[in-house]
This record gives sequence, structure tokens and C-alpha cells, in this order.
Amino acid sequence: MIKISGLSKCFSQQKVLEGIDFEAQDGRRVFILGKSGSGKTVFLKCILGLLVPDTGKIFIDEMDITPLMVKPRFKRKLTRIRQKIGYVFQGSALLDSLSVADNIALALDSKNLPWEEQNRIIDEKLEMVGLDGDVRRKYPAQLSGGMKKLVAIARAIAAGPAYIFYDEPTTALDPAVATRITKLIIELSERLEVTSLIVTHDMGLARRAGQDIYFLKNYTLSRPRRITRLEELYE
Amino acid sequence: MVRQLGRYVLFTLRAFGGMGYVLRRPKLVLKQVYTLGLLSLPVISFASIFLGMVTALMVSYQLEAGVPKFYVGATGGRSLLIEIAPLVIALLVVARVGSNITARIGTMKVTEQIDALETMGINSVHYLALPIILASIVVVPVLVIYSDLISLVAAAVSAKVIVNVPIPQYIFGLKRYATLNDVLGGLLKTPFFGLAMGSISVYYGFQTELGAEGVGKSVTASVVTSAALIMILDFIVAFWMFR
Ligand SMILES: Nc1ncnc2c1ncn2[C@@H]1O[C@H](COP(=O)(O)OP(=O)(O)OP(=O)(O)O)[C@@H](O)[C@H]1O
Ligand SMILES: [Mg+2]
Repeated sequence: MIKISGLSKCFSQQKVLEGIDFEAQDGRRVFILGKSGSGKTVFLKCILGLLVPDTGKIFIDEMDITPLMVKPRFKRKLTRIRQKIGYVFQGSALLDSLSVADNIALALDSKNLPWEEQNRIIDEKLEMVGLDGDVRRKYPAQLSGGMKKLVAIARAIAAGPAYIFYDEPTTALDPAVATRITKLIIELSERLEVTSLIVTHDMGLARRAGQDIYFLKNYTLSRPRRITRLEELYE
Repeated sequence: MVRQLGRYVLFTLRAFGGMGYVLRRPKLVLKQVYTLGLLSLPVISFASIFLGMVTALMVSYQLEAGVPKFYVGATGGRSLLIEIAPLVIALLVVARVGSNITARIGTMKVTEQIDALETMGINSVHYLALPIILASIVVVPVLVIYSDLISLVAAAVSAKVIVNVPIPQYIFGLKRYATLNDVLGGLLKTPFFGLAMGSISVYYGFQTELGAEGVGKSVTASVVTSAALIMILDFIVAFWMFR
């Protein structure tokens, strides 16, 4: 379970998040809807300690990880907690210099698996996201935006995480691919029994796949009684 | 300025903390050696030929009438070995490779590739920075040795063609006056040039700020700083060895 209380973050005078309380129950698909620039990406990065929050506590499986973010000597501990989380970045963030297979292998790096075992996992994850074996040897520059997203999802689930974070998983993709990814998010959450945290401004996606929904507006999170119109986000 | 310096030193020390990690993955370093070497070979070959030619020309111009011709080999060759080849090659590597390293890492930073490594539990400084620093320490000396050879040959040939110094005389002069100390004095500093270039380039890459100008700004700062530090190091070595 992820539990957050009183989270705030600002960048040199610019306030982005303030006094955020949040909870994601195990196994749920939790959506955070917010317009562009509202701080969705910053929120996800704070949970992982990629950005250090100014105030607040973040509990992942009962453990407050904010103290781990500031002291270098806790880096190893923080690393272990990060490994419970798979992160699908907004721009996919595949390493340009590595093939698809090597990108997925990175997620397994710390496990020191034998080569065959690693290969088996790579094939398995690619199949799970519906990509065939041909893409293994391709480089990110040779893939379409949608395929990159799928590879990024394969990489995020490779190490068997308990949580998957999706940052705008369907934005800038054509409707067919967006639908495919929507289905995949639901399917993975059920098959792998992971907790999914999805930040997006795609209302349709939230309607189709969301179980718990938050709005991120005016630096803070609120729970609407129901999602009716997109405009609510922009009021 | 002092804060920057402190952060840079700390960063470099942290990078070397990943030695164990990199030693278990020597491929990371080999890949960088290959990339950095291959990037620089064309420009270094080209520059070495011209360095050799211009040195021969300048030395023969400065020698007074009556000085034996083999002095073109003696002084020209020695200057190449001690000073010109190491310094010019190091600066060229900064321009060609250092800028490339900073741009590459800066791009990885702004496209969240470095964040991605960190979330997968990989220390991005160990994984990215250290292999590049180690490769630079190896590649710069090798390139300087390569350049020494090419530029000496070019110097000998152009001494013959342009100012009519027979090649055997050039070689005689070189052999007679160039000492092992000269060669070592020229080569000893090159791993430090490599260390300076590699560590500064990755440091500025990692410092890249988000936004469109971020990468460009880092590259400029990286090239200027590397070049300055290399010249300072060069002077320190000269002062210490040849005073
Ligand atoms: N590293 C940073 N340094 C300074 N400001 C930042 C940084 N990261 C984000 N910001 C600022 O924080 C605000 C929120 O950014 P964020 O990327 O979280 O928005 P977002 O909701 O993810 O938007 P989008 O839907 O466009 O991705 C923006 O105003 C941005 O300029
Ligand atoms: Mg975002």
C-alpha cells in the first residue's frame, strides 16, 4: 500500500504540490487526473525519490521512505524499495544506445540471473505486452511511439514489481494503440495483481480503467464524487 | 565557483565508488573505449599530419644558417613529443569526444533515461559515468602515441620535401637528442588529460538542466572547462619535469 501525507514540493519559489494526502490500496487501479503542468510527473517522481519532497511522509508498504531520500548512505535501502515499483515514463525513456532486449535486461541487472533465465523473462514480458520476438534486437530509434510505450511497459514489469506507475500512458498515441494500452493496463493489473498508479489527462482512459480517481488541481489532490465532464479539471 | 569545484570533485569520487560494479561488467568500459576511439581517429589522423608538417617548417625557419640540418629533427621532433602532440590532441579530443559525451548524457538526463536507470535500481553514476572516465584515461594516451608516430613521420617527410632535410638526418637528430625523458614527459600527463576530460564531460552532462537550451549550455561549459583544466595540468607537468 502507498500512503502519503502532507506532501509538498516547490521549485525555487514556484509551488507545484502542497499538502497532498493520498492512498493507494493494494491491487487497485488508482488514477490521478490533472491538466498539463499541474504536477503529475513531479508527484510520481517524489514517490520514488527521483525528486526530493520539501515536506511530507511517503509510506510504501508501511515504511516511510522520505528519510532515505536525503542521506546517501541509505541509497541501498532506497534502491531496494524502488525495485518494488515499475515506472512507465511519459516519453518511454528507453536507453537509446541499447537494443530492446538489453533495455529490458537492465531491469533485471541487480538480480544476476543466468543468461538463459534472463532471456526467458525478456521473451515472456514482450509476449505479455503483445510484441513479437522480432523487436528484441531493434533499437528505440527504430520503433514507433506506441511500440516504445509497449517496450517501456515490458521493462517496467520485468522485475516483477508490486506497483506500476504510468505517466501519461496513452497521450500522443493514435486511438487504436491507446485502446490497446488501456486494455493492457487492466489486464496486467488483474493478471499480475499489482497496484497501478496512473497519472493522465485522458478522461476516457480513467473512465474505462479507473477504480479510484483523484483530481490534481490547485497544487492538491481531491476526490470527486464522480467524473462527469472533462471541464471540471480546468475550472 | 568553489561550490562547483567541490561538487565536481565529489561527483568524481562518487563515480569511482562504482569500481566494483564496473569491474564485474568490463564490457561497459570496452564499449566506451571503442566508441570514443572511433570518434576521434579521423580528426586526430588529419591533425597529426598537419602538426608534423608545420613543426618541421617552423623549426627550419627559425634555425639560423650554418646550424646542421639534423637539428630540424632534434628540436622539431622533441617539441612534438613533449608538448605539441599531447596538448593539441588532448584539446581536439575535448572538442570531438568531450562535447559528444556531455551532449549524450545531457540528452539522457532530459529524456528521463537517467531517472529510468535509477528507478530500476541502477546507480546511474556508476553505470554511465565511470566507464566513460576509465575509457578516457585509456584512450587519450593511446591516441597521443598514435599521433606521435603519425606526426613524426609527417614531419620527417615534409622536412625532406619542403626544406630539403634528408630523412636519415632527421632521424639521426631525433635519436641523438630526444631522450626517454622527453617521451615520458609527453606521455605521462596524458592519462590525467583523459581523466580531466572524461570526468568534466560526464559531470556537466549530469548537471544538465531541463529545457531546450539545457544540453547546449552544458556542452559549452564542459568544453571550456576541460580545455582550461588540461592547459593548467600541462603547465604543472612542464614546470615539474623540465624546469
Ligand atoms: N526539475 C524541475 N525543475 C524546475 N521546475 C520543474 C521541474 N520539473 C517540473 N517542474 C515544473 O513543475 C510543474 C509541473 O510539472 P509536471 O511535469 O509535473 O507537469 P505534468 O502535470 O506532468 O504535465 P504534463 O501533462 O505536461 O506532463 C511545471 O510548471 C514545471 O515547469
Ligand atoms: Mg508529465
